[in-house]
Amino acid sequence: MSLTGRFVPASRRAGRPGPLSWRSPRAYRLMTLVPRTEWAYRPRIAATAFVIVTQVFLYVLLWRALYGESGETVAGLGMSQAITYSVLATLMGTGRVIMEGASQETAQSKIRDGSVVFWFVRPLSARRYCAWRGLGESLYATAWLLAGLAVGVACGLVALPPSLAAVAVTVPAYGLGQLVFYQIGLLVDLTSFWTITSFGVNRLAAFAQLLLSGGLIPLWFFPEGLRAVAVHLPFAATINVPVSLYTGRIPAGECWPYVAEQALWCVVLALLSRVMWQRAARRLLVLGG
Amino acid sequence: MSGTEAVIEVTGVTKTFRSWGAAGAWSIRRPLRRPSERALALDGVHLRVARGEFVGLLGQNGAGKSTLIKLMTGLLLPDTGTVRVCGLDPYGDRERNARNMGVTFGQRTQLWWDLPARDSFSILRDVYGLPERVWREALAELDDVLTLSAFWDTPVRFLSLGQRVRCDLAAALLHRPRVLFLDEPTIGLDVMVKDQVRELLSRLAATGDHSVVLTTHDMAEVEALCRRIVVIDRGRVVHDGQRDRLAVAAGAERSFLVEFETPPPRLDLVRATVVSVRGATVRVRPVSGADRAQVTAELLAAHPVRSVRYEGATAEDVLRALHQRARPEPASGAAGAAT
Repeated sequence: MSLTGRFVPASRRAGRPGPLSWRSPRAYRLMTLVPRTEWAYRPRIAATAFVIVTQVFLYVLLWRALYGESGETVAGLGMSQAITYSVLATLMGTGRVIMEGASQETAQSKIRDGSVVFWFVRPLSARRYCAWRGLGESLYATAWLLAGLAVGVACGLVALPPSLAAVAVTVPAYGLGQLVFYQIGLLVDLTSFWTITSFGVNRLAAFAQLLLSGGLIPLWFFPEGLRAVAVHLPFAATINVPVSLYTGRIPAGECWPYVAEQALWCVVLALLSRVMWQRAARRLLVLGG
Repeated sequence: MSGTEAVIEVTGVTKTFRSWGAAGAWSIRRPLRRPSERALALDGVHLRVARGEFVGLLGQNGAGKSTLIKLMTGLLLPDTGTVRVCGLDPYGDRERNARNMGVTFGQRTQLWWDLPARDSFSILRDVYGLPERVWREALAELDDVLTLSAFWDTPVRFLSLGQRVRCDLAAALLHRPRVLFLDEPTIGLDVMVKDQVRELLSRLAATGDHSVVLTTHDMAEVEALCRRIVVIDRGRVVHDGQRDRLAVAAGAERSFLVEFETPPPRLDLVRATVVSVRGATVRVRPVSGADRAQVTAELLAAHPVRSVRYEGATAEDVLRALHQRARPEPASGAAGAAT
């Protein structure tokens, strides 16, 4: 078989539409990128499972030791709720492969080796490419959450939500939380276009995310001043709000201010990331010859 | 070979980059008010590439080749002038333009590092929205020349450089682009892989449908593939024309070393001038406009000849001559020169 005379451009092939009228890219398949990558590193999946189990075990020990046999409610949370909160918070913080820097797919890593230019020479904008990939990452994280939730409920570690209404508001709050999660990770990653290495920013953001999202300890245990600020930051939208709704710490009937704040953060961060994408595209010249 | 339809049109393009000078370590103006200056990367560049043309874009490191490629691929916006690729503004219409072009950038890879190379091809199929059958056909053809199937199930991170570069070239060609920008595609490759890449490129050139712009420092590659050569020096086009004319443009020396049967009598040549005589061995240089066949015929007629050796300048010599000129004047060819 020869390329000569056969390898002609698509636009010139008889009976085939020109390149500008090609069907829309099937970009939604990019959602499989993160799960495929994780599957390629199967030991990493086992390591993730090990970390979750260990972390949950330690949380259970901690809460049982703190609450003792008293059965009291502390800061609005009973022991069972506290354990449920911590298990879910641990699970919700799992599977954010790109944000954790476990992937070569970050802007930071691509800027360092110069291959970020390929994000800008394809018929799919870099912004959409990352969005589809991020959606896949969220679904991957959700799979971890659901699997962990099933095991947790079966083991009696995780209490079921207090009502169907709690489930009904937790689901959209979780979705919005994932969106905010993605946007925060993206904004941090995009800073690499200016800083070349965003290691410092990454580290700061990871710490803020862990602490201020309620992923480490529920925000209600914070000193009042810090709590008052933390609950209104975007980090709280990722874990604190959906887990509080699930456990009933925020009653379903009072969810709207929290969900509205989540939605607001989604919009604000999306606008911010849009501006950063536009400016990032202009920063490509730093890649040199 | 080429048609006359212009696929790439670069008109009067100038591009500068801002660079910041160092401020004093204790200056209170640092770092917000460091002095900046603009470095000229491209200066009034014109380039027109027709359908089916295979153009070698040559120049020293930092001459402006990659900047020109980045302008043509829509990665940069020119300060002045216009760039059109298949009638589109590659910067303003980046996504539509991307469907018409394939691009490689040296050893930078567009493949997904953690996945097998074939997965990268399938991701690109989805990104470009290629029909399954078209994608399979293209992949089979590329595999035929580049022998990819032997290693395309291996994760990219485990591929050798040669294997990865072949996969990257295939990735750039999968959607059968009309325009191909190849920025040093064979850098660091062994001779066998270079041959494979050249084979693919020469087949592409033979179709007459693909316009290819190749930058390279490998002169053997230029001589094997590029009929037209554009030389950039300090941001200006200093030569644009057929490869054979490059030596003339650069004023590079061509000569004939003639060994006669016996020392010749006084040679009176019309189409060449005698440079040196040493016994029966004479070196002559053709006069301007004389071609090789005419000079050879005149030599054969002048005195019995034992051998004639034509000593042409290699592309490398010619480039060296061009670059060594103190400040080259732009060529004034019809197909594009500096202004």
